[in-house]
Amino acid sequence: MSSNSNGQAWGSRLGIVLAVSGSAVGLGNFLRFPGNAAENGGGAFLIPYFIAFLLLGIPIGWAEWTMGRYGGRKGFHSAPAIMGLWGRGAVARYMGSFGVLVPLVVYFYYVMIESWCLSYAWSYASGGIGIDAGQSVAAQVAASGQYFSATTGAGADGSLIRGGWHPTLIFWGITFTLNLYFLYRGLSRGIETFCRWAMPAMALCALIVLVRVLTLGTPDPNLPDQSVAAGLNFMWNPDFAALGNFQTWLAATGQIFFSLSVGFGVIINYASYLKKDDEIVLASLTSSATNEFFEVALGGMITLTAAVVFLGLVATQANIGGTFSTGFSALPVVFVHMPLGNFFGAVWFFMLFLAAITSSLSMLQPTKAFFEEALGLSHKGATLVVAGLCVAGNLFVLWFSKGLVALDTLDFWVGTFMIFVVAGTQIICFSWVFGVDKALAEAQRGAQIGIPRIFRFIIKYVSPTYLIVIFLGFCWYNLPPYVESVIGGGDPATPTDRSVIYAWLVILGSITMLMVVTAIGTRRWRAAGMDVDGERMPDDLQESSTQIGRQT
Amino acid sequence: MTILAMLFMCTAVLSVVVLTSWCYYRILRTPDKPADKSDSC
Repeated sequence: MSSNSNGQAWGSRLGIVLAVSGSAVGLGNFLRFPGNAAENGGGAFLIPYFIAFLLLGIPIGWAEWTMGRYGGRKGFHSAPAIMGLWGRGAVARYMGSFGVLVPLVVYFYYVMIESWCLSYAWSYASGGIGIDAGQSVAAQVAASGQYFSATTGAGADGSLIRGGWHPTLIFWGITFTLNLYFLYRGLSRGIETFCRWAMPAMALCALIVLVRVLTLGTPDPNLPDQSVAAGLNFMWNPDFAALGNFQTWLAATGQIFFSLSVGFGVIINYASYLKKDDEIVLASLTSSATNEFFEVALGGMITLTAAVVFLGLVATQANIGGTFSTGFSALPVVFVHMPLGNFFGAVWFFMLFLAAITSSLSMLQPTKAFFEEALGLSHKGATLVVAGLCVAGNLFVLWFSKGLVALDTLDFWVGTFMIFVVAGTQIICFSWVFGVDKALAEAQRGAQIGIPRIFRFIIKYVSPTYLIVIFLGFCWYNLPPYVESVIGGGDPATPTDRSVIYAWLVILGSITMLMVVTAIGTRRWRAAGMDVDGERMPDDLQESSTQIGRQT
Repeated sequence: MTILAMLFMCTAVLSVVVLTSWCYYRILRTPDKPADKSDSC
């Protein structure tokens, strides 16, 4: 594959597929999906889940790949420039700056979670995390929670930084350096090379743990309810009544939506380094399918099965409320009881580390590309700017660690809310502003498989409507309790946590900076005679879209 | 484990395994296109 951007290009099609898959596969696949499914209808959860995959995940994935490749054709590689092109103007362009905000700000905290995984892997490899198997399950879960609190600094602000070198700081330093190293090596030699190695390694680690979990049988004959069959039954037994609950559909759609990394600003950037005739329809489907394989076939079989086998149904149900409680409180207890538990614990957390680093790497590249093309920075200069911003962001999350409130605030508003905004803008620009016929004609260029005709209707009407309904549902169910938890119900005795205020300052500061850089970039692009507002439609696209319009 | 749970599990896992395998089969059996320098407009 050749380059169309100052030396940056993918080495092969498999390379970009694995890089996008690596971006999508993260902790949520192994920790969030099983808990979400078990809490929302078990096997029945898979019905709205796969419907959302078909109606939202696959179409928005195709849209984002197409937008990115078309942007690259016009010489752009960042979300603001590419969305300005597809949305034909300043509004879409400035909305596109959220497509840089999301990966940048999510990186501020995601790399911390990544370093926790590495820290846990190291601890297991060097003898475990010190949970006493002789205590009650509740005491073991509590001990695991205390270890997690000590690792993350959740007890008090500044506890990770004050008083010498906390181990978490060292693991943060290692993960940060690794991320920066692969970013600096460039697209093909850095990100692609790493993902080509890390993705199979991640699958191998997961398969090792899966085989171990599925061969556990009933470890304690006195507790026949704690068996592999009971664990699988807990995860997969369908409760069809849950399908009548809107929250089940919301949870299933949210799981698909956040898991696939659509609306994250990553795919649009990655695809912009493709050539105009490079295949994207099958590539997009393959990346999505890879994510589903890790989520359903591996995540859905391992996590809760192991938890039920060793903790029992009651303790498992009590500890699957969130990604952190499942992954860092419940599962460490499981490894204490599992034969060769330290080995499998190390393999498991190393796998989570690989899942996290392939995602965090993908968050740096869009920001770097944005600074390169908006400010005219060199590869080295843009890498340094991104490194500086990320160090500042990481130090903020490191310092304001009490209760993980700052992390949660960034995750809620940028890592969740803003993704809806970016994905919504993308699908509307794609199907309504640019025009669905022209957009699909562009998507089909060089395609190895055709996009079924029904997707013209789905992309134009169903996906945007579905997204809006789910977004409104998300706001309806999540905003009031969130606001109440932040302001303490307006009670002066429980004032707003200052971490929330500082996190909001970080968000607003980042938005302002990105808007200013977008404005500077727009002036530079115009001065260079680039098609900033997408006014010059290529002739070949005009012709093929007319043909598609006639067919449909 | 109930038969319904088994049915849902097998269907879901087999679906994603078959889809993923088919996608990689199609990708890997098609060689990458040779480099082309005239790709931007």
